[in-house]
Amino acid sequence: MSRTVVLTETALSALQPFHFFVDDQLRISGWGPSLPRILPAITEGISLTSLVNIQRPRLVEVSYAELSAHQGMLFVLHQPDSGLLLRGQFIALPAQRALLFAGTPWLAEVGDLKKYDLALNDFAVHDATADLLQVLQHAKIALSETASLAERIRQQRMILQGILSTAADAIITINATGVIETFNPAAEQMFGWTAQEITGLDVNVLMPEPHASQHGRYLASFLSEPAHHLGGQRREVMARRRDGEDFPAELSLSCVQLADNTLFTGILRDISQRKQQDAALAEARERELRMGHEIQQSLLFGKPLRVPGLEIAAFTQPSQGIDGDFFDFFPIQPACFDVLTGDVMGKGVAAAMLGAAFKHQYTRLMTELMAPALSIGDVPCVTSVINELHNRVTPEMRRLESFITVAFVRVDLLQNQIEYINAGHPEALLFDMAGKVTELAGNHLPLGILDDELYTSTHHPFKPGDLLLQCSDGVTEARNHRNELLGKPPIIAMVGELHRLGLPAAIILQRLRQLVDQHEQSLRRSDDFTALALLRQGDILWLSQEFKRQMSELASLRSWIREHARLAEARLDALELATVEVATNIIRHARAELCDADFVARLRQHEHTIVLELCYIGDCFDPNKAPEPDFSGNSDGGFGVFIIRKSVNRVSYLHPAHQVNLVRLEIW
Amino acid sequence: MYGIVNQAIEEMVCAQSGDQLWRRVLKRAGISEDGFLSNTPYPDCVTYALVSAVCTETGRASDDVLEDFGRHWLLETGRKRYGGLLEAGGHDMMQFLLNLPNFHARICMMLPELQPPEFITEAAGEQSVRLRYFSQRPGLTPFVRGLLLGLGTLYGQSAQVTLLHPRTCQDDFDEFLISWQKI
Repeated sequence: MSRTVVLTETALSALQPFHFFVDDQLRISGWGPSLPRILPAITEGISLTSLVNIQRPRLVEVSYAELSAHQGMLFVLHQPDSGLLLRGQFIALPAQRALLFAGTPWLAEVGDLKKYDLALNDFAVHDATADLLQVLQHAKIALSETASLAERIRQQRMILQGILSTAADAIITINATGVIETFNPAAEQMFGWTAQEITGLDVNVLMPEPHASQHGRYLASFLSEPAHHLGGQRREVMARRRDGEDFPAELSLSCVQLADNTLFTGILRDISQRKQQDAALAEARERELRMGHEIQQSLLFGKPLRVPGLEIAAFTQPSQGIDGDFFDFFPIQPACFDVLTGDVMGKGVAAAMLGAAFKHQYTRLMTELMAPALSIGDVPCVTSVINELHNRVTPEMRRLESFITVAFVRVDLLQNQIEYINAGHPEALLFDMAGKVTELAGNHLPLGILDDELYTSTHHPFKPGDLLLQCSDGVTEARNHRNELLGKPPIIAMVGELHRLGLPAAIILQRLRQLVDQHEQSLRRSDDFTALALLRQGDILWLSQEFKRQMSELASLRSWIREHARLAEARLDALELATVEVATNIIRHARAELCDADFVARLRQHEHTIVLELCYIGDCFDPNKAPEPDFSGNSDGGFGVFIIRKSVNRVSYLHPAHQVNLVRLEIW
Repeated sequence: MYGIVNQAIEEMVCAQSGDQLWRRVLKRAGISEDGFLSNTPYPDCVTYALVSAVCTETGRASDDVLEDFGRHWLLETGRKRYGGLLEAGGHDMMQFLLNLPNFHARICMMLPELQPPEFITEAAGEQSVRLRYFSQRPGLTPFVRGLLLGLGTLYGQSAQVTLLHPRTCQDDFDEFLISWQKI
């Protein structure tokens, strides 16, 4: 259906601002408002061909007839001066013998707008040119950003590659199924696999069992949690090299959640060398501590004297491996000797060195004083010894800003007394057979504080059966987890009980150690523990000896028995056999928190009878629970108790006090 | 909003106060984006958070920051990112302003997720235009004011922008009167 539409020039100009009319001579006869911008030479009557070339379509001739015949085609008109292309179509107006060109400039890019001095509003509102230009610009921006991003990714990749290749630690990534995706050069070196060989394999080839079999399950379990994260945790693991060698490694793990995958990155450090070094260091330190302890033992602690009728037990344990407690013994005359115990202020090697130096001063002083005293039939006076020591050490102690607490005891068994000076040390405790306990207090300052401190002594009876106990403040001031002090009363109660039971001095000290450990609820000392026990034997004279709980001590035990027991050879053999069996049972089976504590063997010789007791700390042993020996050879056990029973005339298993056990062998 | 808006804030902050301030702005806004992509849509809250962070970090009022941003957007980001399209908006300020609705209509078609504002303009004199600004996003009136002032600079004019009618609700519009004279 054809329709006649009347279009005003204004409407036509709005719809087609780049239009123009030509007559049948192809002379310009009208144009749209925007056309002069691109064809500035346009004037009324000017020839079309003088303005533009017809680039497309190819025409036989540029004529009204030809243009009319090609109405349905896209015409591309080329302006030779500016290079602009105008594209559109000719529409014939037969009635006017004219042609209308409707078209628009072809702009390849936004810059062409400025080039041709065009603005968007030069185009019709409906013209897609502006849309196209905006789309082109957006695409250009997107391309530019993509290129920029690609470059940034490339640079980051290079940086990452640099880090991965030069990192000293192995860096391995795996996917959600445990398959290795990347394996850096350090990983190659560590594990012995090349990246090419191992990429694509399951990471469990790098683990020993049982982890290798379980890894898949761990991974699945981790991924199934809704909000899983590793947080860069570090832990020690065992890894496996290609050649099968397992080695310790430190592993840090992280997890990255991508759109379609989860990647895990593990950074591993081979710590086998570090472990070896740590072990060597620990061993060296242990050796040093042992050496230090042995040196300390020899420098700071004198060996208890052997005095007939007297048991001397000593125990020391520093809180920090080596500390300032010390003690020493100095023989004066038969049955008369001095005991010096002290504690240097402070801890560690410095305190130990000061203690050793002080002990050396004491020994030197005694040596200086002994000869002149003995030459006149006298002995060095106790107060002179301490006061002279004080004078000699005070200047140096003041300079070092330190001091020494000292307890000095001269034991005179013939006079049945002790002479005692306490210079700031914890009070000694004197237990007598009647159960009386005397605290030997002192009111003197420690050595090394006041120049003019004058030390005086006190005298106390020390009779057969009495026990003198001297402890460091690490004993009485031991604290429990509630910070409560142990204090003297429980010590006095326990020691008093064990003393009344006639137990050896060494056993009393071991129970004292247990008491302190139980109070502190720890075997780690909070303060130095030093204790000396001097026990005068009463009516019953024992010959006693401490032995370590080691099988190697059995030979010493045998020698000791042979040296001191007077029996017929056969009976001696039997006693030795029984004693060794008891000792073996103690060493192997007795359980106690102080399994390192010695056991005590003591022997009492009668005319025809020997009583030999082995006393030890630990859980009690019930011989009735020991099985009867099976001579058929079908089962072990019970032979020890059987041998003991058969070797001696009487064996008694006694438990005189808590944690105290005594096996008494009687043979005649 | 599209990333180009957030990029424009970044460019403005970096140009005026340096990269370090921008990093502080990002941190304060709680945004870890390693750069924004121009044609990628981002939640509006990102843009608002950035503006708020800029205000806190610079101690400036939000109206000042937004107006500054509007100016920067037109004169820097728009010119750089849109090539000559912005400047080709019209041969003079009048043509540009009267063509402004068409510009945003095209953007609406090309970038539907952008939800661009709508402008309705009409000449109010030889050198003045009445402009109505419709937007679903509250609080951006100072930004539009900055755009219009920047436009004056773009065309070498001294522009005055008067808010005749501030919007009262989301469906309402702000109405400006822009007038200019040659510098």
